[in-house]
Amino acid sequence: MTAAPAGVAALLALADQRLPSGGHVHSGGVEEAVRGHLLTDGPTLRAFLHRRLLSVGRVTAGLSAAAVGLTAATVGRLDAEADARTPSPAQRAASRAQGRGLLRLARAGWVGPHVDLVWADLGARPHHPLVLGCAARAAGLGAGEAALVAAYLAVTGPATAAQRLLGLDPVEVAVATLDLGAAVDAVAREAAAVALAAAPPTGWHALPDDGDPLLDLLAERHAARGDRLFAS
Amino acid sequence: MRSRVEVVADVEDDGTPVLARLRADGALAVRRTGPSTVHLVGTAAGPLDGDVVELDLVVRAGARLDVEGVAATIALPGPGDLAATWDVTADVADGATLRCAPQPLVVCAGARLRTGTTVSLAPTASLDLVEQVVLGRYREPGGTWSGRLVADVDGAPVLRQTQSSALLAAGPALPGAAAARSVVSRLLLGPDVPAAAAATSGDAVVCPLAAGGALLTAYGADLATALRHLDDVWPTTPVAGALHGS
Amino acid sequence: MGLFHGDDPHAHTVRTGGPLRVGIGGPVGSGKTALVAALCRTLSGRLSIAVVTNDIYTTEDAEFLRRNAVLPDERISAVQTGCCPHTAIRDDITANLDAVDDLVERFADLDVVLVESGGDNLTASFSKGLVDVQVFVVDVAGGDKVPRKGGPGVTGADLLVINKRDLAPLVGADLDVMTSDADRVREGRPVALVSLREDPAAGPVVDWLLAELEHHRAHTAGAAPAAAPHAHA
Repeated sequence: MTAAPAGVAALLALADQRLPSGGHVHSGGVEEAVRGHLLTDGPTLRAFLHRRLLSVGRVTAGLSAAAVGLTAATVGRLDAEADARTPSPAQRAASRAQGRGLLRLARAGWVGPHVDLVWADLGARPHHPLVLGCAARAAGLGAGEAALVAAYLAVTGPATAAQRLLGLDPVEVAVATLDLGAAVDAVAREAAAVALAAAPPTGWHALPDDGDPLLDLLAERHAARGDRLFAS
Repeated sequence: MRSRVEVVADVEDDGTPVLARLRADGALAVRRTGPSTVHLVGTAAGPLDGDVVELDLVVRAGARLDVEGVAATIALPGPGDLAATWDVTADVADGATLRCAPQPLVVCAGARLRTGTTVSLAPTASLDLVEQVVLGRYREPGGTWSGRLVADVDGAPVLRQTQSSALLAAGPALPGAAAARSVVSRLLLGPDVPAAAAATSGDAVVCPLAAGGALLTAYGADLATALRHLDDVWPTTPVAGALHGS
Repeated sequence: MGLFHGDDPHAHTVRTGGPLRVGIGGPVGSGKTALVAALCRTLSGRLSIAVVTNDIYTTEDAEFLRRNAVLPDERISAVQTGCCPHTAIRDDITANLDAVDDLVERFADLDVVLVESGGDNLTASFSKGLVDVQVFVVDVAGGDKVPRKGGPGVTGADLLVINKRDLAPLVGADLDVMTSDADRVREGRPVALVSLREDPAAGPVVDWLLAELEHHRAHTAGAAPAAAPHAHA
């Protein structure tokens, strides 16, 4: 076995679901899918996670990879690109809530992303992928790693929520996540390649923008409820 | 086959609508059916795999253009390895309005189609864009489709969204997803679009966009169901009216 | 680590001034929400107070407080806990910190923020990153063994409230056993034996809270001007 490349510990930390940045109160549509009996067991969870990876996962991977190269001058444009890829207001709110949480942690962990950007440049409630890309940069990671964390979290957050809501066998949930590993790698690799090839800021129009009306629908149905266990 | 449609709508000083340019070649014809209305007419089957269709729409300051279709477009399989492409580019100037509501696009079993719609709006331009996609004819599995919708207002991103049959098929175990053979999207932009709260009705959702305007999406087992959901969630200007030439 | 760029890397670890943050935890039905309501009723004329609730289904406790009009709506914030109330107050406190920050932003004069946990078990306790002091509420009807059993809430809370003392004869609980067990496991930290039904003003808890507030102000006075007690609009 070869030694792990530099920065892997930081990569693991950013992808750790226990990282205290507020992710555990977001189900990524799972709570509403469970309510609507779309998601009932292991097989439907797998289908849901795969679908989420191919939409939210791709989008957040691309934005996170692009955010690694963010400068104070381009924050506004990438923020608008994130908004334009997130038509659902509930999903925008969830992304910004998690961005705010990760920013609190990143401020404590790193002095700043890099010489051309201070944390304050991101604003109070940036989209989560923007903060993730900046945190990855601060930790010495690159676009590929930032995309990988984003794609991975797009799967693991909802998986944990499903386990809590449905009382599934945790091993079954973990295996569902592991089985998506190659797909997560592929999504991250492709998204990072697009981000690296795109000249900021106007080239960012080419970043992945896969949308899923089902997730938009679930997000807005969920937001309209008064009795929610999860914030999204 | 390569088909290209060009329409430039303008308005004279006295307010008379004019079509400064109206031309089509290949498998599409375009007919002026009203002062500011044109209908697209398919003159050959398809598109087939590998066909290229381009629609270039320009609405100059203060003008209006309504684009409609006379029949559904049926994307069919064809020889070769390339997917058919169907790209719409629209440029809408200040005070101008584009309403684009062609008939449904049916992607037959085995067909491969990539659609793209790119609209650039000036700050006070208006847009009402309806896209209807049906995956497969009656009792037929759908072909392979991806559709990208890109909207900018004053050069700033407003919407970037790609939908695909691959995504809809990625969740075969999801009851709602498996039934989603028909997807209808409607993008409403401009100063006259009422500020709306997010809302859902059946399998339709209204998403107020961060930069203003709204994206409506509905899906259903068939097109009629999807359209009904769409009109339920946005009753102010039903799409049925827009489709049948109000 | 990133390059030094002017941001204070330790800004988050020192809470400069701001309101006293009080965690209120305890098992389901012990009287947490009743205690919060009592504190608000008794103190809201004198202090600027806000409440964050962590409920199972989001808003039930917040609705109770609103219905009982103990505070104006905008001073009550409900957070979702993702099906895991103790995680939200101990392991990942982000949603609660956001709620507190929003309240502090909205009401610059806040003296006290009460953070009520969702009903959880005896192992739940608040992170020090979220609250300055914490109260753990148990009740007599839960059995007089509860204090002896301990758990982080019972042993570690800054104040242990044993509620529903009036029910002791009815449920066969021995209050002397409860208080002496509590004193032993708590190594002298205060215990308040109350009945919120008989004493809706929650006298002993109010006294403790005012003392804690004074202590908090003395400690943070150098960092930010401590507002004098006052009524809010």
